[in-house]
Amino acid sequence: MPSLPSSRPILRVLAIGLTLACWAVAGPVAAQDVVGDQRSMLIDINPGELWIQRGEALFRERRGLKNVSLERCDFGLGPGVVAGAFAQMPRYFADARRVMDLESRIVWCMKTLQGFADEDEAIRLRHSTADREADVVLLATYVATQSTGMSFQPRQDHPLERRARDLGEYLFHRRMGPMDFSCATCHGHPARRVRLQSLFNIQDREQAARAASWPAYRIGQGTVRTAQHRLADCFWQMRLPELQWGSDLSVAFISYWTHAARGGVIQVPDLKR
Amino acid sequence: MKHRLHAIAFACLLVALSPSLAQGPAPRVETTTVEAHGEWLLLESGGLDLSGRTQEGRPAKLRMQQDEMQKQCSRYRDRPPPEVAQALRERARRDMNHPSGDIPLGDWRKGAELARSGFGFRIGAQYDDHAAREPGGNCYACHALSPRELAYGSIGPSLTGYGTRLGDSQAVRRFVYEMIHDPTLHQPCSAMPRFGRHGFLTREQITHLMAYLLDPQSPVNQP
Repeated sequence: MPSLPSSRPILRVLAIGLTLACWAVAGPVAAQDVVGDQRSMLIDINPGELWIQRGEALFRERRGLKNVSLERCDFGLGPGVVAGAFAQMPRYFADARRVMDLESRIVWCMKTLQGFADEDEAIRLRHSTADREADVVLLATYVATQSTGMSFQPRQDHPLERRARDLGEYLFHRRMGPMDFSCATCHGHPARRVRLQSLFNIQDREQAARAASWPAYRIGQGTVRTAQHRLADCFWQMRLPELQWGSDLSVAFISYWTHAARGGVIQVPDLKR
Repeated sequence: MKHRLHAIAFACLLVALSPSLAQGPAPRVETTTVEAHGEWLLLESGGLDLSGRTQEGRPAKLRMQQDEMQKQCSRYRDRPPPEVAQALRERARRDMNHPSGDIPLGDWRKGAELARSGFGFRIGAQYDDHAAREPGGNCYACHALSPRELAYGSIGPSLTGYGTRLGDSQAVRRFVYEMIHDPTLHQPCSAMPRFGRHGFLTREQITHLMAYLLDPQSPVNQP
């Protein structure tokens, strides 16, 4: 398991102070890559690391109606195997008879193994709020981190795995809604920026791998977010109807961008704007 | 026989009109094309909240239905062959409801606000209330405009000094109006939204944005 941030808090405070001071002095003069610079200055003190340990504790805790832990949850490599499991997702699960991403699989196990019901807060809360961290986010951070440093190798053996990827590609290029956008409008070309934010290009493996590296601590939101959260945010910005968490539709998009990231390095928890 | 067909058609219509009933079984991979399966995911699978409210007062589902431009540009991934591009241009021209006579310039100060604002028409849990604030054009998301604003995007070309470069003739005004109203009049499959055609911006708002681009006093045309 990756180590937690350095145990020298004074150095950390100094680093943050220095970052802010540089920001204040330099101002937004060098418009080109302010966000990138800010991120690289913070990368050694990624607060997202704190989610890993809490996620693991939650993973091992006996919970739910059946009072069991998630240690028997099968992420595709057999019950309880988390090392390298995220690197092969999304994948087809015969028990659920569908292709699932990491978040959907966690909720599946919480329901089937632990006995949580849809109305329980442990499951109902899919994204963290100011009052409460979502369990799914903590758990996803822990499980995904067990593939950090490996490369994305999403499975494409089952017909539904290939179909999910192909659906994602079709939908990625579909122009729609009152702004006429497709995903490719922003993410299908090199070196495009919205305001100051650089946009990943689906045709660039390394950029796609960075984009597929969720969960990530989002500096602007002060908390860890997941792939499902990011995707729904895109739909909202595109002025489209609300994307339903964990739907086959959402998994198709995630499948496509993970396949585009094939061979690229997994960096979770990532640090994003 | 005819009766039974009517009954079936009626049943289909009921299903099509009722969002809660619209979820048939998932298509079979072996017998369904990717395109048909994708359309089913969007419109029938329950993956989107199609019954949510919208600012335009029409069902959210209509936002997912593609018009001809969206269909063709999706099909050719924004690189339509020349004959398709020509047909799209002609169609856009036929649909163009041009303001008659000379086009006035609005207020560049209001244009500046509209160029910065990304508010409007977002739906779902965080719903944009147009009674509280008017929608904006969010031009800076994609274009450089005033040289003083450094937080600009690069999806569209830089428009800094646009009025200084092109002047402010009626011909230029007409072109700028058309580009904001429906850029596919000139560039089929342009990445830019058809702001006027979709009713995203009003005619008056477009004239404010035109002023922001063309008025010599606008920061866009200042050093």
